[in-house]
Amino acid sequence: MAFFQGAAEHRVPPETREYIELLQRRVKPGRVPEVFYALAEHPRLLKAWVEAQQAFIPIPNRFGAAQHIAGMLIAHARGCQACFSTSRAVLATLGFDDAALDRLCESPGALPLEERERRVVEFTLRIARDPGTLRAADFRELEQAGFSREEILEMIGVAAYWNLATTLAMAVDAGLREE
Amino acid sequence: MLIAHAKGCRVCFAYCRTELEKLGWDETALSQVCANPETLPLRERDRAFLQYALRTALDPGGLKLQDFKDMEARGLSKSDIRELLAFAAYANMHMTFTLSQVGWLGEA
Repeated sequence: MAFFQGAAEHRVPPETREYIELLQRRVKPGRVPEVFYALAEHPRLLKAWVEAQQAFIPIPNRFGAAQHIAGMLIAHARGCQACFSTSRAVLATLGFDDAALDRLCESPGALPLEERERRVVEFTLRIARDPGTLRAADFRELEQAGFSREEILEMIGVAAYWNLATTLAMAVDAGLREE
Repeated sequence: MLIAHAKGCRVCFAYCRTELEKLGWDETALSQVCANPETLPLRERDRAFLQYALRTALDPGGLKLQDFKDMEARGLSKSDIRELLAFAAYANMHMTFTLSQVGWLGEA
């Protein structure tokens, strides 16, 4: 038997329901990952997670699909299945098919994106994976490429959010698995 | 403090140490904690929290069912464990922000 159990749809507590419904609208017609239902009994934590998601990766957002592609690639790099499927569900609603998304995951270096979008994805991925290696020159280069300071802060926020989401989702998922 | 130490986030590390000093911990004791967290003079429940919060922050995918049973056996309730996982996730988010900003400001 698993350590955590996800709440069945009809047993989601009233104080948590609005957050589950927000998630359902984001991934529609996909399914909300079980890890969110496993936090349904803990409204404060679920609320914090969903509100962080809404704040850092709103739909729509200023970077469009690039922001969700970055999320998918961060989830893929970390091996977080729940975040990976959530990102892909959002990208599917934006017109990306499975084959195109698979190619992106296999070869992120060859992203078929506009230069600006490609930079957003690559820099966000770098912040998420190795923020300690960033130097002032990296940020100057982005500013010289036309990104505003506010846009760069947005990228940091997206990367930081995915580091929260992948950590929490992978850890909760471990508690949902049976031996 | 230990997550910040492991991730090399000097700003977070200094902040946590300042907070711990306010709680009565001295510099020497904190340095000993960083060098050898296993020797911490804590209750078993607190020691479990510390061990698994650090592990979750560094390797959430490495947790196994047995780890959850161990946390429970050492005094953490299911609710405590959810809090622990969320705390580790928050630390990872916070340090992503801080390390990036430090790099941007050229203070690294």
